[in-house]
Amino acid sequence: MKARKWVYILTAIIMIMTMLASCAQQPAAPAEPAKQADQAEQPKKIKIACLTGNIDDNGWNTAGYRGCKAAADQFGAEMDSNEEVSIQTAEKVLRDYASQGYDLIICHSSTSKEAIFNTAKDYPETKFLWTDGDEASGNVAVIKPWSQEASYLAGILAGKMTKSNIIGVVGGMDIPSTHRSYYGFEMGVKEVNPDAKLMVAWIGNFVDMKAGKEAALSQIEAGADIVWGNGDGQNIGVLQAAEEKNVYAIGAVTDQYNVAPKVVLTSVDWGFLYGMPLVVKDIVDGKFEGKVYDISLAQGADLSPYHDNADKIPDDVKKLIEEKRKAIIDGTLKIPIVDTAQ
Amino acid sequence: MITQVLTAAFLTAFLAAGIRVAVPILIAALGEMVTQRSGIINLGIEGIFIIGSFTGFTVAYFTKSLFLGFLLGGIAGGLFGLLMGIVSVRFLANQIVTGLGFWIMCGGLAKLLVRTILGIDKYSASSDFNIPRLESLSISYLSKIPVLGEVLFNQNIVVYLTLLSIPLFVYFFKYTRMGLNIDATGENPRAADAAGINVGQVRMLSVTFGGILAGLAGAYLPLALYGVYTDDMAVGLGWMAIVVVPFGKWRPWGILAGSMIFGAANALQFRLQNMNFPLPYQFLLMFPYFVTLIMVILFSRGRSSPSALTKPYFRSEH
Repeated sequence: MKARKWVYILTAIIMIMTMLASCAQQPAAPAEPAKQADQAEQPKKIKIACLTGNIDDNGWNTAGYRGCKAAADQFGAEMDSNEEVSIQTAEKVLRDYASQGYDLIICHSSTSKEAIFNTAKDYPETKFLWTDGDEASGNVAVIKPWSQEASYLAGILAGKMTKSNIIGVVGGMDIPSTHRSYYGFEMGVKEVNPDAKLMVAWIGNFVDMKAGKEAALSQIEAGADIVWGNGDGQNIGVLQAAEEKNVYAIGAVTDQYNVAPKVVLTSVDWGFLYGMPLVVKDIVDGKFEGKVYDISLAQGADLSPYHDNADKIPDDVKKLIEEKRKAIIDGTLKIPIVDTAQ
Repeated sequence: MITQVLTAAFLTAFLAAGIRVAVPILIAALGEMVTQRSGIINLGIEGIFIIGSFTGFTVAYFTKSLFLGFLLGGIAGGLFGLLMGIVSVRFLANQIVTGLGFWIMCGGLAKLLVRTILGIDKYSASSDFNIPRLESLSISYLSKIPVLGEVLFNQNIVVYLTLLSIPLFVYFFKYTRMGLNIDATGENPRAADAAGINVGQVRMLSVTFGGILAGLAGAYLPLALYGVYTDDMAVGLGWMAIVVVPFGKWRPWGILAGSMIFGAANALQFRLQNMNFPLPYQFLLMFPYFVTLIMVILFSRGRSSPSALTKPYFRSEH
């Protein structure tokens, strides 16, 4: 009989989790007409809402938040932020913002497709921006970071810097944006160093720095002498592991130099800081449309500066990277976008 | 592949990784064991983990003292344990619901506080906010033993204390009055009450103690392992600690074994991924949980949970 108690408890946990996941779809309160009248009298000031995950991750969410903030500051917009972007809560928050009359609602999560389109359908006047999404239409625009380009350059750097010819890659989840990054990275490595072996581990989420660190340590112990964190929050663990074992590391999504200044050579910046203002600019100019905004290397999805580690990279490597970078910008070198395993 | 696996360096690294993962789970699980043996299940320890991490980190950041970080991390955890005790012992609330409520509340509270105290625009897990980490203390002669010496005797002080505490827990439950009282309260509170044990007090102390250990386990993450804080850093550890308790059949050695097996399976899983093991990575990520599940099924016969677990006790003497 007593063993059953555990079955009850576990069932209760599962049921509550399921309820949390399914009860997010609350009907939204209608917008207050009084508020709208107020706004019509004053000179128009754009209101931006920014929905991210936990913004202290020094990765995807920090980058998204700072991108929103940069956009808001640049165009003198009012900004509000919320960190409940998880699948359970996203739609509720989106509807909340939409009903409060925000002009642009940025949803910084690739998993929020249903939440965004369900809300966008009911609020056709509100503009939505879905970061790293796969479909844009009507009032929903998408920012697509072309992370493969900077990843390719990072791959060249890693391929040139490795002495053991083993390069560790710790990914978050194998989703389109990380997959195309990985493809670009591998292409870069193989181009300059065909003998190099890539050791790849995925940790199955983007937040668990414990797992990131364990994965990176296991690769360094197996001989990797440069590790690349292909994700965001878990990169903190990856870069820390590199610092502890004194091997080089490359960050991703945003400039992660400050996580481990001794060993981070550069980071693959996904360019949100430059991409989000582009969208807001279109709104200000009245040119917004539901399209995909590609953030290419030329638009800011570039390698981060080398900071104080610049002198650790040989000049010919830096020169090679600069050449390739120019070739990508002027269009003579194209890095294919490969979003899923072939 | 086999030759790669069977080297001393590989084994050392593998076991060390296992211990790294296992220790925070073990600390919290020992506390949860005491709580559950008194008849209360505290499902909120995932939340208390977060509170412990946050408090430990913030205190150490401002005071530069790891000791104070641990101390206040433990106290903060204890306060939430006490709160859980008040709600479930004094007000006889449903422990499952209260525990889950505590989890959600603690997560939100830590998130709010870290942004208020450290600044919403400023704070991110970076070297600007690094705190020093607990050094490892190698025990001179013993740490020279190949493989095991490096793994067992080149750890930080918290690991030693945790491992040393296990026989103490055994002794405590077997030979001390308080230990026996806790078991009596968890098995049959009415009989315990009749025998003159203050059931409410025993339970309250046990939950508070469980909270203290969960808080310490939480503080262990930033103070000993990572030196930074993120909202998601403790993710999953509290639940793992709760699972390890029935796995170890509410016994200290069993809980030690459970945490170590989970830690080892977790360490093995990454090493298999690195070797291009011919399975999709999602299956390998499942591996530690799968192993734990199988072990629970295989070994869960025999001793079962404390009889009065999750049952509120009220004397109804009037």
